[in-house]
Amino acid sequence: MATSPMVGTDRWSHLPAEVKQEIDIYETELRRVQQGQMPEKVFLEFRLRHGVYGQRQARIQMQRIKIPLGMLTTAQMERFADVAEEYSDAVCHITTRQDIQLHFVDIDDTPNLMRRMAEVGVTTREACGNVVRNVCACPKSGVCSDEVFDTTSHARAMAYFLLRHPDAQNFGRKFKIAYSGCEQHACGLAIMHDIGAIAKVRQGEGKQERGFKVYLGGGLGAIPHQAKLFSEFVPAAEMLPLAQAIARVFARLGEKKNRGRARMKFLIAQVGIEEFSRLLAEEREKLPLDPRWTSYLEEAERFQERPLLPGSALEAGGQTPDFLRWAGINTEPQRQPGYSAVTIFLPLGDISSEQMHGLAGLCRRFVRDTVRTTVEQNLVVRWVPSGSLPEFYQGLRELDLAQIGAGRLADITACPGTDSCKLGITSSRGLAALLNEKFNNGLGDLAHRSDLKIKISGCFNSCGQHHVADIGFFGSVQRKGAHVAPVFQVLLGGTTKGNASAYGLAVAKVPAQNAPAAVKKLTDLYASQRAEAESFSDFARRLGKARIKEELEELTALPTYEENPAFYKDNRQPWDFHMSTGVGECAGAVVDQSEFMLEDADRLVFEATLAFDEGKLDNAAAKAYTAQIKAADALLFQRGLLLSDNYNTVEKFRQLFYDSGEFYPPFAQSFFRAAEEGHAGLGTEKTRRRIEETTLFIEMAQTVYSRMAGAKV
Amino acid sequence: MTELQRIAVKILTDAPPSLNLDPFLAIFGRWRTATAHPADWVDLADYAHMPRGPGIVLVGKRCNFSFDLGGAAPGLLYASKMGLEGAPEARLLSVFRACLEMSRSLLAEAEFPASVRLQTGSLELIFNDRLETANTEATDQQLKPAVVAALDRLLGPGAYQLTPQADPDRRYGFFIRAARPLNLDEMLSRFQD
Repeated sequence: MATSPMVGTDRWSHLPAEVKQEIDIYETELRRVQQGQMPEKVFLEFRLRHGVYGQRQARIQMQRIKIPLGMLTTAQMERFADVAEEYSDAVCHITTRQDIQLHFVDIDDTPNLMRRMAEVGVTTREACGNVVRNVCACPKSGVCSDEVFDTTSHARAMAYFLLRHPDAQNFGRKFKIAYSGCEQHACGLAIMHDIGAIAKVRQGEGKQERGFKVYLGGGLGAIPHQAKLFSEFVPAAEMLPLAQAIARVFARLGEKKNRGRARMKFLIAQVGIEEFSRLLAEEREKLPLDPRWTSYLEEAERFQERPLLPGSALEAGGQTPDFLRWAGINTEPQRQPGYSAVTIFLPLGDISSEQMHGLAGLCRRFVRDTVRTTVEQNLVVRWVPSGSLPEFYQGLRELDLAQIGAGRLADITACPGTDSCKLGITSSRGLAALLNEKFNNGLGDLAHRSDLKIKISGCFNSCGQHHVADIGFFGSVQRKGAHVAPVFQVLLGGTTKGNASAYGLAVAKVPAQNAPAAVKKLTDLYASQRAEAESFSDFARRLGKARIKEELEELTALPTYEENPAFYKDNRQPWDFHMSTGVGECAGAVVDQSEFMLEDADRLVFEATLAFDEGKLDNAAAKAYTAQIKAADALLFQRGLLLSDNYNTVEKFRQLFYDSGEFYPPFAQSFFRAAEEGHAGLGTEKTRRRIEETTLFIEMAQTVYSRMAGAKV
Repeated sequence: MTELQRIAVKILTDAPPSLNLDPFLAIFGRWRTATAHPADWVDLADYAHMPRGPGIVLVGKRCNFSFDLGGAAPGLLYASKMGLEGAPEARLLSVFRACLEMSRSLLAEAEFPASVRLQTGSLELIFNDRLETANTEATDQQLKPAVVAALDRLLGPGAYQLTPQADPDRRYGFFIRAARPLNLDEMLSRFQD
């Protein structure tokens, strides 16, 4: 085993003592687990808390590195470039929560990687694991022309207050916080976070007081929850103690054993926001005073980034058409006259070490350390003098970083999917790359639409944020005979607008090969039939899911492997997605019946969404439950139970699939809950959740069904 | 310099930066399933969407091999990560040899783009470890003799020009231009004795 020659030497003595010690302890624990002196399970959560996450490939790690608010200095950018080319595959991947991830990292390299990041003031601490994850904020805070105020100092204070805080180390699940400077734009996506803070001011005695409208208990994941409004106004001075009180209540009362229901959204759903608020008030009273709660506030009031160069206006005339096109899409005037914020569009959120080095050099010439990552997986360079934009553009062109499309349809969000994630079912990046290629060749007319967003997840877990896209995709599988094909559920009706104010619902399932065609179909439909100024979500609502499903019908069919084996490969993966199972003809016949039942379940859940849209809530809940019964029956059929046996589906399912651990427990529990709750008078939110849970239940049934035949999923 | 493990060699090609990389996806997709390969293949990484990026990377525990679009020109990049032994010269020769052998195997694949020619007279040598081999005078004094010895054997004494990486922030390494380009077989034959 190669060990670092630097450990135990003075090589790192210049690091802050506590940081150095923390990483030394990490390395010691790593060596202990490698020598069998520490249980793997204990080390797992320990390494996660240092941002080291196992990839789906055996013995390979992903290193996630927290970038609070996405704020990067040029020295940090250069260091990211260095460690990516030495320890990873020379690519920095910007995540949907403003972190940077490095893939294919050897765990033996992680201690020195951490030390080298620490040299430039970056920690990997609490980037993964059941802790407070990266605190997100609008990348244009402080330069945005219509924000209420600059949230930078407030969000940064929150990030560092909770980092390593003892009250935030005992959660059952991860915890996410986001700040937005206003309600109208989507940059912070506050409403889908555990704590969402939106800047507000109120008139105090003789002066305006800064504070935040606070939402609690939001979250995407498999079962998305809109956050609940906690308060229209929390004074800035109360934000940190409020967060501390929340952390303590969540740590004390949040679910610890069942990971599927351990996010704070479930706790709030269980006790209600009123009771949760009462618990917070009680907890807040008990907190001993901490000077850090308010020590940053004075600085926050004064905080103002400084530009490197004086502001200047862009000279009229003499610009190339390419520049003008790029500037029209990728730049935005700042609130401060003479300056522009430049968005660098990074397809799939990737930037190479070479590009990152070059960009850092370019930034040194034009701006101070004023670069931020975005939740759309791009980079924003602030404080570029508008008169220097042509020169800056030329610099970006030389680095191949001047691609047009930031914020447009071509700017697709995708999680890592099966490229590296253990949970991935389909290749979300493969689909995004394929769409990117098509937007460059053939679908170019669509690429720059500014009224649509596509987001893709490789499974139901929503790391690609598919719920808040105009067109969302999440990966799944479908079995046909002895073969398993990658498919995507298509979700419509979500939006990032209003800080992610609406979540989409599934309307159809298309083979992965047909997903690009589905995008084309939907966008063409929108372009030709939209009413004036109608948003896509309004359009989809007006047209109705039945009509949209009808339009997509020709793309939903999955041919058999024999008819077209290309459908059994994932996008940009020229190898078979499945393995032939070699089951006999008898089994094949049994399979057909289960497939039929699963198809029926799909139909029923779709009918449930139609009923939901029409306001027929009881009917929608009943149909969704019936769909779950159908899917459960499909699996029970595989175990030799026949419908004519008149068995109790819930009971048998519990016995054969839940108790045995064969079916993902949270989804099975949603079925049992539906059975107990019935379907009358559930109300809008619960009915909607039942439909979402039913979709996931059916997808899981498809997966289990595929596994039962021994197919590789 | 006992931990000299991260050494990369790139053979440049005449491929345009816009080359369609799908053939490499297919080839490396097959190669990654070879379980007995000393590289200990893990998977492949597809960066075809990145202009001048790492291209298609076949990732292994001991090394990566890729059709790389970065640097001076697209080319075949072999990057050792662990498992090298012996004196620096032996390690360098081992990396050159592995790069040449893999390149030869790649060229033998039916899908390898017929239009792409290797520029075997244009090579890049990169020491991919700033902690171990910072781009400094001290590193140069320690390693250059080994570099020269290895290249003398590979290309012939004095039959090449070495241009060092001048930017101290970039990795220590050289651009190598051979006076007379040798093909892969000729270079590999130099390892036979």
